[in-house]
Amino acid sequence: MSSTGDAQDERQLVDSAKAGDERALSELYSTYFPRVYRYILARTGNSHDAEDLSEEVFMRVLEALDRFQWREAPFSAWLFRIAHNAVISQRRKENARGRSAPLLDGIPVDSAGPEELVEHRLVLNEVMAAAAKLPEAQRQVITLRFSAGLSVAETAKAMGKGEGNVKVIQHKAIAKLREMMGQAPRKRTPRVYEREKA
Amino acid sequence: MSARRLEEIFEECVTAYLEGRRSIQESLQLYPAYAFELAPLLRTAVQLNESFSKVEPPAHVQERVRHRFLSDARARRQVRSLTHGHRRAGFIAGLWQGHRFGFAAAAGAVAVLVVAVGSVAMLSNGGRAGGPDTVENITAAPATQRATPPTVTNIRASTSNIRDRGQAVQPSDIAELVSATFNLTAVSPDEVQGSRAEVEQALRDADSALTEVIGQQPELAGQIQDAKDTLRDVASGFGFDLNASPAATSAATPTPVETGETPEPTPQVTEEPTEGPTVEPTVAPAETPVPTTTPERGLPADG
Repeated sequence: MSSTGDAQDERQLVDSAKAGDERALSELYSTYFPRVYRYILARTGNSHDAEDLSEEVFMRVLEALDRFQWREAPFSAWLFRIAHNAVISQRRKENARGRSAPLLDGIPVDSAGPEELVEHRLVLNEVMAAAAKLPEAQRQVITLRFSAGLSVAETAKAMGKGEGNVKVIQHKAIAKLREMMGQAPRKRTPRVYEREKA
Repeated sequence: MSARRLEEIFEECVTAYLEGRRSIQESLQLYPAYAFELAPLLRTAVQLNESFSKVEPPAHVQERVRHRFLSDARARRQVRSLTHGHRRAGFIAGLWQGHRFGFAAAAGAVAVLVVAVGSVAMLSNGGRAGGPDTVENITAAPATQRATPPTVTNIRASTSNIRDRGQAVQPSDIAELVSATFNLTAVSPDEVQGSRAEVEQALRDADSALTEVIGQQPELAGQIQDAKDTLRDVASGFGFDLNASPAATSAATPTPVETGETPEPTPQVTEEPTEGPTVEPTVAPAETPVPTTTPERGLPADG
């Protein structure tokens, strides 16, 4: 939600959803479910956890929507704070009972053919493995920005930090990721080069 | 070259790329002085974005969760409308409770007037006692009615259903219990005079079952709290206090309870559902963040 018009549309949508409009609820769900799923997948690295936690997040949204108020944070920041809390909560449970192995093979990737699918999964695995080594705040910024698709302002609100701080963290995180992924044999895919040239 | 300036430019280029306003090449041409440092960073950002944007949740999961999301929302609306409806009814009950002596005095005055008019009429008719129009027959009260059995039975059935569900109680189950409880408001306290203990026991059982559910399914806490409020409102309309121990009210209602169970005292539930031990205090002060007026500020500082 970058423009003012979009923000107003979203505000209307959220207010209608709060008032119980089923169509608005459904639209909010369609807009945010894939983004929440991607965010949780990027944080947990496990597709089963991503499914379960995304569902849990939306149930919590329903539970708390009445109390949501447009004061400081936009809806997206509020929603991803719930998602963040769900991830942290899950991590604590896992720490208590022993961490389950990541299930990356089942990650659903939108690809044209089997070759592309394999390639995308390899790149995604590489990216997620590198991101997992980042400090918590850097990881949080990277996943909110690139998997959840939040703007810097929304990311800042979701994390309770200043926008300037988020920009610094993002810069550091990308530099570190580049360093880590640069050491791996698969540096970039040809597709990325093609897109850059385009 | 200022590091802060590079961070600003990098962020500006990333945003322009993510919003589809500029390609990476265009950004590098726009900032030639920074191109050497920007290029590898922007390529990494593009790779990140491409990797994540290809991920899609499985369609069947998306549909299943959508179905649950919308049906839960529907059930919550239903509960809310019932609760609000009951609160309006509660206002009338409150009016009655607050002014009952006034109402009783007015009713007494009307009764005296009726008796006086009746006596005058009887005397004017030559005082034929025992006839069909005697005051005695006119004022004879109907036999005290018991609570409509299906109402209490429905509350018990809904309570059992919630208990049988274990940890899989659905919002619709709670809505059903609220609905059954709400039906009690159509029955006046006088009508349940002979079944007070039954009603009280049913309400206490329902309250206790809901308390158990909060422990197992904290995500339903808000809805359950509404349902418990309804139970308390309805109970108070009958003169029961669900917060008090059963012994306190049993003095007023000596009728033995049918089930023989001793209902547990019902602890108050906090309005905000919390996950207890699973909440990370430094990161998430409340599990379902209440209005986002105070954004969470506890994330660890970046190194």
